[in-house]
Amino acid sequence: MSDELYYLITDISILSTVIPLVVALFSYNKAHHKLWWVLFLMSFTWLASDCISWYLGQHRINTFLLFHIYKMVSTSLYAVFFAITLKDFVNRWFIYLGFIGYVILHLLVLTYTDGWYRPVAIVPIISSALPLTLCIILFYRMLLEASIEKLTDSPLYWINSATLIHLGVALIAKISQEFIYLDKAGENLWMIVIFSSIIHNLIFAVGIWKIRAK
Amino acid sequence: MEDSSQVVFIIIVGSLVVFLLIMLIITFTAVYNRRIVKKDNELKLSIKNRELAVLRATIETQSSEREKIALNLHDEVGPLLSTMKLKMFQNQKDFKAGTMQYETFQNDREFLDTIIKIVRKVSHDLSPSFVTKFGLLRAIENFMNEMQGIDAEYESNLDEEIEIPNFISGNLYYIITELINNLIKHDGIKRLVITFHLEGEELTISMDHDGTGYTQEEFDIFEKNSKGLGLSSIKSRSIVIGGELMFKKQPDSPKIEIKTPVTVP
Repeated sequence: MSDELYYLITDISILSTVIPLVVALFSYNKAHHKLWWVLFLMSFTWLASDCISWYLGQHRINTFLLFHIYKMVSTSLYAVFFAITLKDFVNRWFIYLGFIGYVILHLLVLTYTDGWYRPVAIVPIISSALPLTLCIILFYRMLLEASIEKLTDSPLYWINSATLIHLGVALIAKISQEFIYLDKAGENLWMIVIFSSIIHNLIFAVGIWKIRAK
Repeated sequence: MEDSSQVVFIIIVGSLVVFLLIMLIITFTAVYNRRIVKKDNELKLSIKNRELAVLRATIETQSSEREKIALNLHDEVGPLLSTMKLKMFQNQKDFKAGTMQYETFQNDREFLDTIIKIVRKVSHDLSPSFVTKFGLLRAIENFMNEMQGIDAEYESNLDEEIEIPNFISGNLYYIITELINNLIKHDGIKRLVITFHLEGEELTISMDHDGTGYTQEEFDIFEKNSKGLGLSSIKSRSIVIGGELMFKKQPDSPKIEIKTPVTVP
């Protein structure tokens, strides 16, 4: 794959993170203020992280420390999102406990392997697997309760779909990259993750738009 | 594997993963929609069944009331009138013989009063005209005054001016009186406080009593297993007026609550 194409897709991916944030600013709904706030913070975290890492990359500064902080913050926001959406279905303290466990494990791995400034394989795998599991549980809940008359009107349907696609691709790509394609060619797989990230941002923006007051 | 063919392979695998995930979402959507359609059909069926049950209960109640009236006329009014006829016949004889006593007139008048009372009761069963003429509150007050051996009182924030449609007040009257009769008969109550509270368009009638009380589940079981029509009639009438019946079994004060709109649904 040519470098030009790689950079083009990466730039589009970074730019696409603006979409959910802008949509969030126009979709505030007092009735769902908790959900709105967590989605807004998620969008903000993605954009801020992308912008900072782009800036650091321009100045040839190691971005892995930022990546680890970003992973912890973003995964914690997923925890809050699922604690809200899975309320009365899964005990929210189980969700929080799982994510606190993840953050502690993340910090321990970084400390003991001295991995603050380099990638650590296990971290993205767990940080994708945890929300992905809850994503499937949320779909299961929706299916079980069947309380939404028109599925496409539900913000959760879009947000969950976006999360499932992106984290699913990221998880499989990471596993493949770490355990199957150990050489440089495996990095090409990451292009699909970046591509899925663009799809994710678009679908996620639709989800945020759906929570606005009508 | 060569580098370029490996890239193609990776793209194929990656696309397959994306495709599978999208398929997963599409499958979820399809299953969900099927479930919604099924649920919708079940709901429609349950509404239809409920409407049928209400209709059946209404028809059964009507025929039971007719039977009751016929029975009252046949077993109570009929024999009393026959007795009265015999008495008049005897009076005629006594008058001819000059043995007519003043007490006889007194007894006959009392006897006629009893017949009038029974006829009035039958007429009342047929149509609670008292409710139509004087309103629900007065009708309930009247009913409570006639109850014997019960310490009953009522409180109300209802404006005398308020007009509750006859359809609602008539059904409410029947529900309340039937509930009171049941409480006296089956729960042995000695004290009863009825509160009418109107807020906006919703009227709440609370019946606090000193009996054991029933929970909502207990009432539903009684209603289901009951051979009489009283309970099912109470339920069907409350549905018909768009009201809700709630049974609460608090240890210190069991109560029954009826919430109903004061406009015809």
